[in-house]
Amino acid sequence: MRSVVLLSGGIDPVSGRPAPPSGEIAAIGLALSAGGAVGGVHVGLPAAALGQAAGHGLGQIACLRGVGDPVAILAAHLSAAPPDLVLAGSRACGGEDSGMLPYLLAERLGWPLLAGVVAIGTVADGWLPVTIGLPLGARQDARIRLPCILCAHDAAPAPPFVFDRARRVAMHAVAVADAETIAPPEGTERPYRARPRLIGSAAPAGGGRVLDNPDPAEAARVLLDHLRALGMLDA
Amino acid sequence: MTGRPRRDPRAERARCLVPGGARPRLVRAGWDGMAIVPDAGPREPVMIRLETPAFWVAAVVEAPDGRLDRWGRQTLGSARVLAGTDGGVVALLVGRDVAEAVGEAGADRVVCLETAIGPDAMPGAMLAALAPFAPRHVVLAESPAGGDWARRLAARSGWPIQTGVEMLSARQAIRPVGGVRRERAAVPARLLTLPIDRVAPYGGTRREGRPCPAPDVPAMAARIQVGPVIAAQAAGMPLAEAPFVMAAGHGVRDFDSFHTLSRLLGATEGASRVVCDAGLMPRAAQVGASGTVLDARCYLAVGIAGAPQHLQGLGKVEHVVAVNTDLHAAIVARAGLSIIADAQAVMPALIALLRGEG
Ligand SMILES: Cc1cc2nc3c(=O)[nH]c(=O)nc-3n(C[C@H](O)[C@H](O)[C@H](O)COP(=O)(O)OP(=O)(O)OC[C@H]3O[C@@H](n4cnc5c(N)ncnc54)[C@H](O)[C@@H]3O)c2cc1C
Ligand SMILES: Nc1ncnc2c1ncn2[C@@H]1O[C@H](COP(=O)(O)O)[C@@H](O)[C@H]1O
Repeated sequence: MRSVVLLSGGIDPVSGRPAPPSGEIAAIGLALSAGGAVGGVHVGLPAAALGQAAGHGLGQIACLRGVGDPVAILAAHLSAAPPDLVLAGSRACGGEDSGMLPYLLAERLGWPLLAGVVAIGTVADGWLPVTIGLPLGARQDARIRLPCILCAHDAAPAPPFVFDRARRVAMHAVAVADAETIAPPEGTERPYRARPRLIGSAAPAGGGRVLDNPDPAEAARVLLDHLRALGMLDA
Repeated sequence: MTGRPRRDPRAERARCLVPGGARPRLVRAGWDGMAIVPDAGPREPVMIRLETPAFWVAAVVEAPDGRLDRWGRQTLGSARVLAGTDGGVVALLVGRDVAEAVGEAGADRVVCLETAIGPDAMPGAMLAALAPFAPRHVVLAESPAGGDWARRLAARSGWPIQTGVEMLSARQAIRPVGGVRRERAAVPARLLTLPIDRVAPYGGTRREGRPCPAPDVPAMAARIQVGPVIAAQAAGMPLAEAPFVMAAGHGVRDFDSFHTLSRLLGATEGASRVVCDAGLMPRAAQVGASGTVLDARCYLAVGIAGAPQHLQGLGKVEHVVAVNTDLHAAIVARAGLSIIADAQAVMPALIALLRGEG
C-alpha cells in the first residue's frame, strides 16, 4: 500500500503564523493507519508549515515546482506513478479555502472520492473499508475501490507531533512541466469583517408552555409526549 | 373627599380591549364592538402560483427523515433572495417528500431525489434533475452532505462555485478567504454553499411547491458502497456532539433515578457546576461557560436554575425542557416546556411510564 498526503502549507487562522490545517494532520494519521509507504506532496515552494505537518509522521515531502493549475500538476504527478491512496484535508487555510482541490483532482483522474473519513480499515478484494463521521457523533460505514481519494474529517484522530521528525524531514523540490494557467478569482478582496449570525433562530421566542404543579403522573405523560413530538425518542 | 374623580385603570383597559387576536390590542377611543377585528376567524389561504418565470434558481435541501430543518429553510430562503420577483425556485429534495412545507418555505417546484443514490452517482442525478430548469444559481447548505454534493457538482459540471458564503444578496456574495482573515465580495456564482444562520428563511406568502417527476438515475459501475448511518450510543458520546442531553442541577438528589431515566430516554448526561463541584457527576459532564457548549437538539434540565454561565452552554440548543420547583427560575424563560414540580417525584413517574410502555 502506498499513500500520498496532499499538503497545502497554510497559516493558523488566529495567529497568522505558518501551520498545517487540522484536516491535513488528520489525513497524515489516516495514511499512517493504512500502513505501508507514506509520502507528502505539495504544489509550490517548500514552506514552514510543511515541516510542521511532517512532524506528525511524514519522512519526506515532494514539492512540485511548476507554474499553473495545481490540479493539473498534481494529476500529472500522480498518474506518472499512481499510489493506492491519496489523502487530503477538508480545506486549505490561507488561500482560496474552498475545499475544491481533491474533488477536481478526483474528477480529472477519474478516481472515486469520499469525504469526512475518520478511520480506514484493511483492503479486502479490492475494496477499502472506511468509516465516515457525521454530525452528532453518528457514523457511516462505506467501501471504496482503490485507487481513490479520501478527505479526512477535521476531528479524525491526529498523530502526535514529534519535533525531531519535523527537523529531519527530507523536502525535495521536483521540477515539473508547467500546466495551463487558471483565471484568478473574481471580485474584490479585503480584510475580513465578522458579521453577526441570525439571532433568535435557535431559541423559540418568549417562554413556552408551563405546567404549574401537575401531579407526577400527568407531568410524566406530558414530558413524554413532548419529547416524542420533538423526535427525540424514536431511536 | 372632594376634587378630581378617581380613575379605574383596570376598567378602562377592559373597555378599550378589542376581543380576539393573539395579542391584546387596545383602542383608546373605546371599543364599541363595531370596528373590524383583525386575525379573527380563519383566513382564506393564499398561494403564489408561478407558471413560466423568467429564470430558475435551485436549492438542494436535505430531508432524510421527512422533516424540513432550519438550515433547509434558510437554503430555500437564499434561493428566493437570488430569484427576486421574476425568478422561480425549484427545490431538489434529497430524502423523503415534504412538499407542503417546502412550498411554505418558498419553493415553486419540488423534485424528489432518493438518499440511496449515493455520493458517487449524486452529481449525475442532480444534473439530470436540474437540466429541464437550466438554473441560474444552485444553492446548497455547507453541511457535511450538502458541501460534499456541491463540490462534486462543481467538479463534474465545471460551474464556478463559492463555498461558505456568509452574506448574500441578489447582486453580491461575500465569503471568507485566506484563513478567515480576509474576505472576497463578488457577483454570486452559479453554485453557492451556505453555512447555517447566515440568510433568513423565506417569510412571504406561501408558494405552490408543485411536485415534478424525478429523473431516471443512470446506473453506474459501483466504485463506492455506502452503508446505513449508525447513530451514536448516548452514553459514550462526547457531550459537545450529543443530540439529546439530560442534565442534573442542584435540585436533583435522587441520582439513581436520574441515571436510570437518562438510560431509558437514550440521553447523554450533563450537569450544572454545582453538581460537578460537589463530586456528584464527573467534571466532563459540566454544561456551561466553563464546561461544554452543547450542539444538542434537545436539552432536558432537571433541577437547574439557569444561571447565565450555565445558559451560555446552551448556545445552539433548539428545544429546552425544564423540570424545576421554582416558577421564576431563569431556565423556565428559555424552555419550550416547563414542569413546575419536584424532580424527585417526576423522575420516578417518568421511569414507571417508560417501563410500562416498553
Ligand atoms: C466564573 C463562573 C463560571 C461558571 N461556569 C459555570 C458553568 O460552566 N456551568 C454551570 O452550570 N455553572 C457555572 N457557574 C455557576 C453558576 O453561576 C450557577 O451557580 C450554577 O449554574 C447553578 O447551578 P444549579 O442551577 O444546579 O443550582 P442552583 O442555583 O442551586 O439551582 C437549583 C435549582 O433547582 C431547583 N430545585 C430545588 N429543588 C428542586 C426539586 N426538588 N425539584 C426540582 N427542582 C428543584 C431550584 O428551584 C433551583 O432553580 C459559573 C459561575 C461563575 C462565577
Ligand atoms: N498546493 C497544494 N498542494 C498540495 N495539496 C493541496 C494544495 N492545495 C490544497 N491541497 C489539498 O487540498 C485540500 C483542500 O484544499 P483547497 O481546495 O485549497 O481548500 C487541502 O487540505 C490539501 O490537502
